[in-house]
Amino acid sequence: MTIKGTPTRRQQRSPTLPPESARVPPSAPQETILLVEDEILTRTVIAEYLRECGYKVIEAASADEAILVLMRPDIVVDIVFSDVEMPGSMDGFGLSHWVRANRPGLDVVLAGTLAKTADMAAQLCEEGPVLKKPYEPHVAVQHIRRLLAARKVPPPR
Amino acid sequence: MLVVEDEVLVRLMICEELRERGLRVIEAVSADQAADVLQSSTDVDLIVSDIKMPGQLDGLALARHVDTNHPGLPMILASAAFWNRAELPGCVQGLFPKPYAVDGVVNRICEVLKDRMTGRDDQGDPDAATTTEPDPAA
Repeated sequence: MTIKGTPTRRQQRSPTLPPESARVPPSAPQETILLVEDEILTRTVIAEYLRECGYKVIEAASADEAILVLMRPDIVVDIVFSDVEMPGSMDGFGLSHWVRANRPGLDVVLAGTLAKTADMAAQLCEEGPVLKKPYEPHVAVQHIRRLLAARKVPPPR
Repeated sequence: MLVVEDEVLVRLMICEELRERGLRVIEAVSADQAADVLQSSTDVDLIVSDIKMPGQLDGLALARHVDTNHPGLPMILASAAFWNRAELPGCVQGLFPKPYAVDGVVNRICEVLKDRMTGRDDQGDPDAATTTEPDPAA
């Protein structure tokens, strides 16, 4: 299954199960992904895929919604997975900047279709993990898992 | 099922509760998005929608759209304003005043889905839910 804007009918009806390698063991603690995507059919397919992989997923349809969630002290978010291009007061890069300023240490994975994605990512001045659309959902999951694993490793002295 | 709510924190609260009860939930932030979902081939058994929402359609317009284009698909509505039963389209099988207690809405959702699965042609008692007291803590 490849994510490229609006999913195909087959994808909507029966989202492909994640490959074995992408699934989280049932015993693993459920980590929370904040998924930010304005296109509902795309968001639904990705969110279902991530849930199949064992993650708890909070869905936001814009960066503004994502910030409302991130400002709640009672909601724990382990990673933000956001589209680059979104309507509203800020796009995915704006959201990344907000996170860096207000939630340092929280990783943001961006996904975008445009060539400008690479240029804009460079402006983030960090190893911004950026996925180019179209991407395979299991690649996104592997990306997310690597970042979450890295968070658990204490920094070298 | 399809939940239509433009306030992210309200949507999050109700969708989490529904998923904890084992339901597959699609989240829409507007009635326009909900109409997009219905136009796709996505299976939807029930729609829960706020009435007042930004966009071209509000919850009532969505209910009329459902009556016309998806006969038999039930809806549950929520609104901060008072509505007479006669004003509501036929697909509406519950109306909750906002702010509502999540448990009350979720219980009604489970009843409607159960009726639908057992094939009961139950139009429900849409007014029954209107007596639900708003949840002061919500």
